[in-house]
Parts: sequence; structure tokens; C-alpha cells
Amino acid sequence: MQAPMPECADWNWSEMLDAFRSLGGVAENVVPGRGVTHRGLSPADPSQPVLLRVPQNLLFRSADVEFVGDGMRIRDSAGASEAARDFFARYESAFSWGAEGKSESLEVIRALDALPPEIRAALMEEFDFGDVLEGDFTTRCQNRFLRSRELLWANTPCIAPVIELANLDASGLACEQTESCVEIAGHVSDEVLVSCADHDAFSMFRKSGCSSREPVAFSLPMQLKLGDREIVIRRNRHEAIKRGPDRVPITISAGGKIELSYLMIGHAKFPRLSRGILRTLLREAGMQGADEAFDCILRLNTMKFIKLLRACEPHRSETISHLRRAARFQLEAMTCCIGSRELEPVS
Amino acid sequence: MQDVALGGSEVPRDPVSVFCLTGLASEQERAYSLPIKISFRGTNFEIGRRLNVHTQRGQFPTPEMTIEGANISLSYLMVGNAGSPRLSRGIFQALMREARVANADGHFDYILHANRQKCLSLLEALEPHDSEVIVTLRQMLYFQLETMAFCIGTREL
Repeated sequence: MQAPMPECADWNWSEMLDAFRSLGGVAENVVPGRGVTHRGLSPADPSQPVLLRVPQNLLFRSADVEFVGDGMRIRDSAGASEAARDFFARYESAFSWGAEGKSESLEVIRALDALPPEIRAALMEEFDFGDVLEGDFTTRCQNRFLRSRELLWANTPCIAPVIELANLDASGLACEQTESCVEIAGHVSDEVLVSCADHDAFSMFRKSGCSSREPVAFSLPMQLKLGDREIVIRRNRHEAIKRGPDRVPITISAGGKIELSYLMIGHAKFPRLSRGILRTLLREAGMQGADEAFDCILRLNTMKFIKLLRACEPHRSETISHLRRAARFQLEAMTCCIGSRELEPVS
Repeated sequence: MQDVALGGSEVPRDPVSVFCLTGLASEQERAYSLPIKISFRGTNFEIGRRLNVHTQRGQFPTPEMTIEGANISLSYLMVGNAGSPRLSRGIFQALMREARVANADGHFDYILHANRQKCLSLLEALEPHDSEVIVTLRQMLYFQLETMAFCIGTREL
């Protein structure tokens, strides 16, 4: 039988960091802060670098998290040590879900629920928002919280305590990952922000209800037939493999059909990569006409976002403004598709 | 397509030119590049919007092109065509072959990128405003972006 949730509302920041360090974590020069949109982290001394390192034993798979009453904890079956599980439950209660995480999630889901019916319908039908907008309210809030805090480590969505408190921004510190830890490090003048390569503007809206300009865009899920070929695109960003420096989707192909776990369709920093990935993957699957397929995918994505912008036209609210901006930012990132380049061979 | 009377003009039109002439937002079959000057990989492009200045290449009217060293001027450039989605890139490739410019696809993508960015920047600038003309302008930009999305593959002229 699993132990009851620990009492922890009186845990202070310094005590929490002591416990974090005793389990192998590293935290230097960080204090709780308050970002523009939500709670966040700040440097204690802006003249010094910040360092946060979360070791493997404190990286918890989202799938192992369970909500109990007002708290959340790691399942016994997860294989984490008792000390790590106890830390997680106390930490979440004092600084994350139990602090402002829950109320933030309630706010976001309520705001999305308040969108006009035709916008909600468009988001569910065309943008895969079913799990955000449909179903039990409490479950949606809990799921939204996890989605907004998790990062991909070893292709698995995980919660990295302390780092997850930092707000996300494309200009933030890179989240470095090794087999044994996740780490952010560097100088910041005001707020500790983390850049998240796994999200585009639209997925950021999906997880936070806010708009943020992201350098990358991924295709919406779709299925298209081009002559005798069929291309299926999912939006499972955690299903990826590395080819040289590039992260590329996992593909399954057979009989003129190819399924991609996701597809990048624009990147401001790597404008030749998106088309290069599809060209390479289709060629390896024995398919021709990659350029035309890529153009079709871009067009379908463009049309959906413009349709959404049109649907938003008659409405005014803060969430609608964020949604419009998110759609515009997504279209902007999609324009960053210039030329093509080869991928490195599969190692 | 919305039928917009333009005084019997035979000049090709796109959502931008129709808006300029009539103040209306209307869906059009073609989109032409906004006037831009860009440099990309050693070639300087100046693209105009003189939509009535063209040269016949095969069965297609194509823009008039002047080349001075690394500077290429085009009287206009089609960047989307709902009826012939392969034509825009095909015309540009033919022009670049004639101008002996390598990597025509990269250049064309860059021109598309610059056009889309201009439309999206204008949408951003319009965001805080609301009036009848602003709403129409936004609708026009949606049409322009939609038509530009009809740029799929390529074909020989």
C-alpha cells in the first residue's frame, strides 16, 4: 500500500534545495521569481551564472505521476527510491502543483472552455485539441499541468523538479541533456528562462493558453494521398531518432505508404532542414516527389491556420488574442523553409 | 472567386492589387510578389509590381527581366497560382536558367519567405486596431497568404 501524501506546505526554498542536493541535484544561484506570465526562477546574483542539474534519479516519467486528493506523487511501481518519491511529493506540494500550478491550470482550461463554440469546434476538429477541450474538467487540468511542465528526456516525457519552474522562451537557456542528467547553465540578467526545442508556437498555446514566438513549426497531424502515395503525419515529438546533429522523426513505410511520427515544416535557425528531412526520408522509403509533397503539406497547414484566423475575426478576448498570435507565429515559423540539405546517414 | 469590377482592365491582379484599386478584399487565382529588394547568396533581386510589363516565353506571359552583373530586376513575379500551382516556381526556374543563376529553388524560397513575412508583419501591426478598413485589410492578407500557398512543385515552361 502506498504511503500517504506528506505534509509539506511549510517547506521553504532553502530546505527544499538541501533535500534536492542530498539526492544528487545541483542548484546554484537560483531563487523563486515571478515571470511575466507565470511563476518562475530568478538569479540570486545576476552577475554570477546560474546552474541547475537534475540527476537521473530525480527525473520522473510523466506516466508515473498520479494525482491524489490535492497533491501529486510518483507511483510505487515507478521504480524510484522512496527518498526520491518523498522529495517529489513534498516539492510539488510546496513549490509547483500545490503552489500555483493547479490554479494556473484551472485558469487556462477555464479560458479555453470559454472560447466561442465555433472556435472550440475548429480547435478540436482541425488542431487536435480534443484532450484539452473535452472530458472531465479535473483530468484536463491535471493533464494540462503535466504537459506544461514536462520535457523530453531519452525520448520520454519527464518532470524535472526545479527546472520545470522556469518559464519557457525561445531566447532562454538551452536545456542540455545527457544520459545521466538534465541541466541548464549560464548568465541571465533577470529571469531564468529555458528554451524548449520540442515546442512550436501552437503547441505552446496548447500547453499554456499563451502565445510565444518560437523558431520552429511542426506540421499538424494529417493524412494525404498524392497519386499512389500516402503520407501520414502524426505529432508525436518524442518519437525521434538522431542523425548526426539532427533529430528526425521515426518512419514506418510499406506499400507506397509512409507514416512519420511528426514533421518539421519550418525552422528560423535551420531553414534548409525541414525540406531536407522529408526529401531524405521519402527517398529512403523509395518514394519520389518529395518536393511536391512538402509543398502540399505546407499548403494544408497554412490553410488551416488562416481558416482559424478568419474564425477568430469577430471575437475579442484575451484568449482569442493569444490564439491569433499563436496562429500568426506558427505561420511565421513556417515561412522559414528555404532550400534543402542532406541529412547524415543512419548510424 | 469574388468578381471585382476593375474597369475592364486586362492587367493581372491579385488580392493586393484588387485591394489597392477597390478597397475590397477578394479571393484571386494568382498572387504576385510584393515589391522587394533582397540579396541572397550573392545575387541581388529587385522585384517590381508592374504586372502589365511582360515577355512571352512559350505560351506563358512572364516578367521582363534585366540583368546587370549580380543584379537581377523582374518587372513582377508570380508567387502562387490556384489554377496552376506548379507554374510560379517553373517560371522562376526558367528565368534563372536564362540568367545563369544557380540554386534557383533556394532563391525562390527566399522570395516566398520575404513575401509571407511582409504579410505576417502587417497582420501583426494591424492586431491592436479595429475598423472596417482594418478588417478588410486583414481579410485581403488572408487571401494573399492563401493564394501564395498554391505554390506546389514545379513544371517546365
